[in-house]
Amino acid sequence: MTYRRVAFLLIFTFLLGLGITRTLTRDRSETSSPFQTQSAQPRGIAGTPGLDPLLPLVAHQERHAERANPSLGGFTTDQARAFAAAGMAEDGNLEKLNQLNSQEKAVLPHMQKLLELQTSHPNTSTSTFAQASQSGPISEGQAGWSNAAGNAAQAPATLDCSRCDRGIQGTADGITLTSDQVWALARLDPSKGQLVITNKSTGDYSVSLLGSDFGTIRVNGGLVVPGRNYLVHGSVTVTGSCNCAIHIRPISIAATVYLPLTVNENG
Amino acid sequence: MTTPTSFRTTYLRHALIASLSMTVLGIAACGSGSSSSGSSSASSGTSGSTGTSSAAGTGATSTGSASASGTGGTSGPAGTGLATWILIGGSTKPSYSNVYLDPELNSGEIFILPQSPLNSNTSYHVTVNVTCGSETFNNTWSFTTNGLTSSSATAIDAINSLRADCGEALLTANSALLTSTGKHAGYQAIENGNITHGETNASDPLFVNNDFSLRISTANGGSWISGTNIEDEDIASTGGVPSIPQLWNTVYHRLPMMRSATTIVGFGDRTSAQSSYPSANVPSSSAAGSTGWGYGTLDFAGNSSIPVIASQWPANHDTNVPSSFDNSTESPHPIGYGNANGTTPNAGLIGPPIHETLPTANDFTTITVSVTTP
Repeated sequence: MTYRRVAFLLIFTFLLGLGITRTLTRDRSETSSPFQTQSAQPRGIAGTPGLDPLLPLVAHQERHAERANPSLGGFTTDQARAFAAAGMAEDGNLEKLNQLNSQEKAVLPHMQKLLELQTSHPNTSTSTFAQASQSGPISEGQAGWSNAAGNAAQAPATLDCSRCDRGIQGTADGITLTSDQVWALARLDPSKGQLVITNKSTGDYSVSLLGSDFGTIRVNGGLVVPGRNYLVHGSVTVTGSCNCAIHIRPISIAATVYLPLTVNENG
Repeated sequence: MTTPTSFRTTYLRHALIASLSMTVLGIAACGSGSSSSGSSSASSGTSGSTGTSSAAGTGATSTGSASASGTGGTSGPAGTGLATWILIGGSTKPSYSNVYLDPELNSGEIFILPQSPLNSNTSYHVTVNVTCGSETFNNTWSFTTNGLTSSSATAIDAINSLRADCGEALLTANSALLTSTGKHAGYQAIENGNITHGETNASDPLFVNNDFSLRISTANGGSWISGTNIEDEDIASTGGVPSIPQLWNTVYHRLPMMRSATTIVGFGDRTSAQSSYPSANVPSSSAAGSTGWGYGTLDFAGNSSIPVIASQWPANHDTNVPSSFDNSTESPHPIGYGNANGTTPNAGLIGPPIHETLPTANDFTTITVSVTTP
């Protein structure tokens, strides 16, 4: 009996100990202290042993500004979205085409016809691009413009970053290319609504645009297809009130180069 | 492409980070707070650490990937690569086991984090081969670990020295940002508490606003600084020049310091606040009961239209690279819970963050990285 009594006391003491332990644990986890409440989150920060107090912090905030209202170059947002979707479909990406709403679908056939007018040039020599850089607006159906749509975009290309060219100057107002082998990424600031890219190098450049909405995006006032390369001759002006990324590449990596489709607003 | 984070989202994130700072420093204040305000000779908090040596050159596998099948695996010469974590920006990621999509990173940005500290005074060779859409980016370079210190005269000079090393344009000091940072550093010193992005005590003589962006606007006469559409804030517990290598040897705090889009900067700390606002009676770091911290505060602004070019750090042949980074000192931890990149568990002392920025808005489709000893 003595042994049984001793065993009972030992077990009772053990269970009591567990109870105390649980109570302490619960107290710690249920504290109302803002510090410990935070530390109770599964972030592991508070429990980190040997925490270094040299703690840097960061916060990041992007401007929440009014969007600009740039010229749409004579095209509506529905037309521009339909044009972009038709072009992307032609280049093998049907995603945007399938997302068009009824108004955009209504103008799609017309935009598909216009798409055939977008001038493209296979990348054979730089002189081709110089000749292709006609300025001034064109009208739908204007004679002399080819309907060579071709494939979008870029031939597979490689940048050796250890030898990359830094001949570019950029400000919020515009970008200037000063050497002929720059690879760069720029973004259109919707609050500014315009980005001018000027080529002062001896080489030729193209820009291709990526974004989720091309309703307001224009290059030199003309319609563009996401992912296609557009010639930078002298300068190009990208306008729009949507976020848009702009790849700037030497023209040598572009399989096909396009001119944006503009409309003669007088005619 | 990556859709820029909305104002609402980033604001909430800002609030989250600030609250986390209270947590961490509430604990840290019980331990070993450190003061180096105004000092110009101290090194980064983690530079020169040797820690436990990784198996450099002795058989660890490199991670991040390799095969297009997405199974992860090894890359580079077998048996010579170091194990790494890889954080990338973008909207999708290749399904490699140690590659994580981090919402704080922009498309084209990649951070390589050796899973163990590097050896001191040792040269390392980095190879990064990635594809983004139809384009391929290849880069190979080397660096030597020898601690990251700065001999610059000012904190802003120290930032510019690092940016020049990356090939990025130098930042210019901006009077509004100098004001916003000086006042906020002084606010924190007067409150004598945790480093924080927030301001909640309106009776503090240097109180401006709880929101750092609104503090900047206030310093600029009530409007955004002309030509900018991006703002960031970094805060360190140290002050002066030493706070710059401390902040640089991180992931999230390096971002505004390294990005092409950043164009202007302001720096303030306890010392500068004492000098600029004498009537506010900012206490010295040695005052009784003081945390002793320098409260080095950086506000950045820039414009997202600024073109991004290929850049990296460490640069080729750099010899001022720390051998380690204490992941637990950055909030949120780049490798661990709470950072939204999916990495777990929390890491402690690891290798120094190696970054590369590529000029693309396309997502990464394949990634091959190796960090080796020659």
